[in-house]
Amino acid sequence: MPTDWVVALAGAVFAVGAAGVLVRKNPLIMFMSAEMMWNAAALAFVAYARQFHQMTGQVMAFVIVATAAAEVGIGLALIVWIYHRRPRLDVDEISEMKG
Amino acid sequence: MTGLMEIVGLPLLGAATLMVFKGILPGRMAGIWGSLLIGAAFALALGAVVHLGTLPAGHRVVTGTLFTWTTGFGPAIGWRLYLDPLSAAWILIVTGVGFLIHVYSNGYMADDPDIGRFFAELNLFIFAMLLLVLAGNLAILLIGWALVGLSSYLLIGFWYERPSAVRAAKKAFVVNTLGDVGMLIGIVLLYQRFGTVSYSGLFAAMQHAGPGSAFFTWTAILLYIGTMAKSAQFPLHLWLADAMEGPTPVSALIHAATMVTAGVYLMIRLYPLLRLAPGVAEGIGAIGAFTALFAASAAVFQRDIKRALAYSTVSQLGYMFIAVGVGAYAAGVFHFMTHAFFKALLFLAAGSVIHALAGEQDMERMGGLFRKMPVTAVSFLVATLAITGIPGFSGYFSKEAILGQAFQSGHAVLWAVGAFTAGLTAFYMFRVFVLTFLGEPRDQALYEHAHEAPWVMTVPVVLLAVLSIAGDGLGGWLDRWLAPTFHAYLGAAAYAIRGGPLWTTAVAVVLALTGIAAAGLVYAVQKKGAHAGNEYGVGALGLQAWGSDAVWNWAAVVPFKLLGNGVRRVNTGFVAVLDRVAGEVTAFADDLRPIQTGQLRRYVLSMMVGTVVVLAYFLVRF
Repeated sequence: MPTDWVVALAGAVFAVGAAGVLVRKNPLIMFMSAEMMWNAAALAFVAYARQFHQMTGQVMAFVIVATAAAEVGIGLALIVWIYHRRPRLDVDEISEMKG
Repeated sequence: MTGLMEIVGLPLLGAATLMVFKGILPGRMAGIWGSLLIGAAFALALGAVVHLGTLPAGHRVVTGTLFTWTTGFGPAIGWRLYLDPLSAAWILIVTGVGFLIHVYSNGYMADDPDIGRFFAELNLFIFAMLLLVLAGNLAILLIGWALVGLSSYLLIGFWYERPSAVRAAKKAFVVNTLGDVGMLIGIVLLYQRFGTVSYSGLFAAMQHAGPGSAFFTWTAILLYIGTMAKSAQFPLHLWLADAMEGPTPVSALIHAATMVTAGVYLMIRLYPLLRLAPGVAEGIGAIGAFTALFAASAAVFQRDIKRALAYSTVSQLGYMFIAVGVGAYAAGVFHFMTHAFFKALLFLAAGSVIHALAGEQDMERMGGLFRKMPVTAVSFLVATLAITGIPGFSGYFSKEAILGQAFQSGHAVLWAVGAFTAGLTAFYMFRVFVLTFLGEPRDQALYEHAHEAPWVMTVPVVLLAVLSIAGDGLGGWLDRWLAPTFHAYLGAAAYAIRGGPLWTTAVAVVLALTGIAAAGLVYAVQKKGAHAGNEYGVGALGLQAWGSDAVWNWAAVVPFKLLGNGVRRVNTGFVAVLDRVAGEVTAFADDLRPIQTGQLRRYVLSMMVGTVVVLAYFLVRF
């Protein structure tokens, strides 16, 4: 399978994720979309690692998985905390930090 | 060390404990505790001096280093204490007279709510003064020197609610600091040249130098500037009269008996340096003589009893510097000791009078107090006779020793000025005595309330009166006692106490008697008041010490104020510019505020657009 296809897939997944983050208002969905972006990046790393026979890319994929796991821990905790204090989950309503 | 650290440490302990516990301790206890510690320090000092006397004459020094102070630049400087016959004379007076004045203060300050702070600061002063005279090198001496200036500042400004006291304290501090700078530069020069500041090291190095080099001349001048400020020599005399704003025991202890003689101590201590700068020594003597005459002439016109005594102190310090100038060091020390007795006595007796008259210091409202306060009056008379130089009293012997040696060493002019000043001294001192104690009371209401001081105040006064008479016995002892110090290094040929020819003494005594007679004629027979002659014209000028304050104002204070105002204006302009810049930045930031919407998705969008733009740029470039 040519690398280009895989990279094209990764690009498509990344674009879908980015669009999800931009379009949706529910932080949980935004979170999942961000997760897709992570995975697209990991996929691109792995694809190039296979092409160039370099382990560095594989290692980066593991780093991404670990980081994403940590991010999920913190992010979900924040979302649960916000849900405790507000009736609805809508990022547009959480805008107290405006200048 | 054998007790030197304890002598210095006891007053410091007193100052620390009184400062910490002054809120809890009752006033009486604070006074007793403070006095007790100084009494103990006096006992220890006496013991140390006796011990010093048992040492063989060639090795009559007790010294030791507590710890090393500075390292890292040049040779190390240690905390060295040093007791030799010269510093022995000073520690005996500082602790002995200091103890008497502490006891007296128990009565004088009894009604003051801040008595705890008073004794704390008084103890701090004794500590600083002892550190100054027991220092083994010039660096430690400078620390004591600055600390006595600090405690003097604190005590002049003791009644800090009075604006005049605060002003006087500030003036004293500024003038003293002026001198400190000169001293510091002088000491640094010596350190650079010789790599040591300890007395023994410096003097040993100076043994090999010949007189006349510019280096020694300038070092001596710089150190003398410090001396000038501390010992109120013309033209830096102006702070001492204002220092009378402090409580009277402070005036007696600091501004008469001890601190102002620190300069005399320093100059006598540095006699090997003066040998190398003979011109400076001559100058010191000349300035001393001028100061003696100048201050005595100002004292003639004073209305305030304490200011009159203050100018008399400046005048007597002038005598001590005549002694320094002509190399009559032992006579200078002798006059320092007798002066400590009779001038402390004059101030304490004046303090009793002020106490009895509910704080009144104007001699115009005194008079006739002999009947009300006989003990104080007789003691004051004894001190007056002593300072006047009437044969039989201590001041006669010490003053004659100085004047005699000035004459013998070929300084006839210095002798003449000194002898004439002795006449003036007699006049103004008897003026004070007559106006205060004789004649009819000029303020009947104050006179009715006047009473003899309590025993705690009269006992020190009477003891000092005894010392003022018996002090003449010190002369012969001092002559032998100080010999080892002045034999150790070159430069003290005329140290021994010798009188002049008989006719010089006779002239001085006749002048003094004439002064007494003149004062009696004007103030007792013609019954002139204290205001007579100083309302306008020459007298008004004399009241202001011949306008020296005005000259200083014009020469130093006004230019500095102009400079300060100029600098302030520049600073104000600079700050205004900064303010405008800051205002612009703030306005710009206000314009940018709407960008921060708080909308998370807007942020994400701008991040993504930014990323895409950056990537696009690189894509196009390559």
